[in-house]
Amino acid sequence: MTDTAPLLDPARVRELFDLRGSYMARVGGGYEGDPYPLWNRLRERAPVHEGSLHDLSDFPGDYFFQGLPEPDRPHFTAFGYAACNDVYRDAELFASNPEPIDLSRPSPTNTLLNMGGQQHRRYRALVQPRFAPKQVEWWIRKSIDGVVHALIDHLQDAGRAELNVDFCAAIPVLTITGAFGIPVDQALDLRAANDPMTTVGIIAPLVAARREEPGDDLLTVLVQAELTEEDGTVHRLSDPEIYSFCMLLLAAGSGTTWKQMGITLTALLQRPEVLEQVRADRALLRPAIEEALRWQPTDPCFARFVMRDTEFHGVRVPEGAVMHINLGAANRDPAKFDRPDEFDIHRPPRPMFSFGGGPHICLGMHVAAPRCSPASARCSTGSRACDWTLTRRPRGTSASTSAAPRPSPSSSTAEGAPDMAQYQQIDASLFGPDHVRRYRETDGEVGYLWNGVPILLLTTTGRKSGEPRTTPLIFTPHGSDFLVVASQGGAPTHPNWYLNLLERPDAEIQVKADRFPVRARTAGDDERTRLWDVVRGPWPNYDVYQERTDRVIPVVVLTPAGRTPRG
Amino acid sequence: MPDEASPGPAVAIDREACLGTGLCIVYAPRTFAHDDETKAVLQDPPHDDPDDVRTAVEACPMGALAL
Repeated sequence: MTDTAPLLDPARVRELFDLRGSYMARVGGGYEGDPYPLWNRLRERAPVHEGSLHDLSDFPGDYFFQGLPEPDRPHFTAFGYAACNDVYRDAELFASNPEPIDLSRPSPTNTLLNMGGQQHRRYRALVQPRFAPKQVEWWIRKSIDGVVHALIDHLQDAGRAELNVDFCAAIPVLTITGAFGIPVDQALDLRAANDPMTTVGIIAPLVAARREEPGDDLLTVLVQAELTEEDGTVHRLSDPEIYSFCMLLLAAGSGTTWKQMGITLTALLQRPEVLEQVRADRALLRPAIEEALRWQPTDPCFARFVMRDTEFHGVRVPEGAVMHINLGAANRDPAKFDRPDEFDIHRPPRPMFSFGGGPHICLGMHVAAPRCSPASARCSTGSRACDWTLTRRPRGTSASTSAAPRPSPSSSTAEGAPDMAQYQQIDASLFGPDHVRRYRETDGEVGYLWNGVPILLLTTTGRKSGEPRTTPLIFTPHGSDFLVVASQGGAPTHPNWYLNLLERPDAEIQVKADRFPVRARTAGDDERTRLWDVVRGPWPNYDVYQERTDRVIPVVVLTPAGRTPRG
Repeated sequence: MPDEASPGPAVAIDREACLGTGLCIVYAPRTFAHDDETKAVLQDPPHDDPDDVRTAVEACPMGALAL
């Protein structure tokens, strides 16, 4: 990493959002085939089959979704559009939960997701207004716009991105926590929390703070919500109810959008001619997202409990059974969609089940597309004069798509930031570990000059590992010293190399072929002001980076060892 | 372009059934809107293509709309 750092720790994001990692395994992350040809055949044979979806898909196992598995109950799966529609619409016959739920215990399943009838209606009404179409502007302003642009600016500077991790995963996590008013540094802790008490431990102080001081966020909406019971009494939500709500909305709000964004971007990047159309006409972006939702919904199966014996689309289904809704198959039912297996962004809009259906239809559906939309817009249309070249990571590292920007000769501008006029577009074809390796191999023949500025290799001692860590950095010579800047592209936290130097200021640098020990110190206030002018001369982007962050970006003076430090 | 003067299909909204999901606004944004209680209301005058209005009616997850 030359100069920037991501908003979230990439190693941790990779662990939590590796599609084939252990975190995803319990929801079927190990499935590798294309299930649609088989699902099409099953749907042609009958609209409803006996058996769970994973058994019918030759992928046996007890997978976890929406409270399942329920090994002691018989399972059925609806494949046809009409059958799925009937399951969704009749919420009394096909209930979300077989028993009343326990509102006193915080759990993502003790929420409106598993409520029924009037109770569900009352609780949903508390949050529905915040998720209505006319609130989309609030979401964009509150948490989407800033996050998307910060992420893309970082990717632009970093030069390459693993889209699944650095982009698709990061956006929903940051936007949903942002809308809740949860600090960035707790976003991944919440994602990682896999027991209710850990989540409560993070949320409880925030809820208490909103009770004291309301803000413009979802936590405040929940804290202030007034629930009218059937008998007319009005009360606020209890703390356990609020915690459960948070668990549900945080979980629902991050995983789904992440995967759907990856599906949409992959579909476009694999179809250059469609991508060109979207680039040329941004109005096509929304239909492209809608079509990706229909064609490959991120979660193709949900479930309901059968509340009484019934004859359903030609199959006898007993009370107590579980009915799987294969909405992926329903979205490709030729009775509803022409050429259903084709990804066609010019389809007329038709009802589909990607957000579910019936009373439990996805609360966040109007917010989901905008979260994908500016992100995809900047990726696919390259508003920063940047084209993206798709590459595929080798199998076994991470199941995802990565991309690197190809700088365009046209100059870049951005709205709003006064010093953006001087912002320099970066050619990042040489980057991070590759940069270090090529620099070392050639003694800087390759890599010393980078985007018009000189680069040194700084080797610090890892403050946790104790291992040497080498980073390529832009430097400015200053007398016999070398000035480097701990900017991370304006990320909210200091770069690791700087934190390492705070622990152990003795380090080594390589300038072209010369390697020698240095001692590091951070420039003091007045000195920093003076030196900032020195470093920003050759690299005006530092001003832009400083604009992005509240921290004072440190200027570090590296003095070759054996000489008396100045200042 | 639909003719703004044409009445289009008449739509009935069941306020009790309406949950405020806003799906109708997605398919026929110039026919439906939300009132202060996040319930569907008709715009005056509604002016979407009749096909879009029919799609919106069909899409309502609560079955709260009828032609």
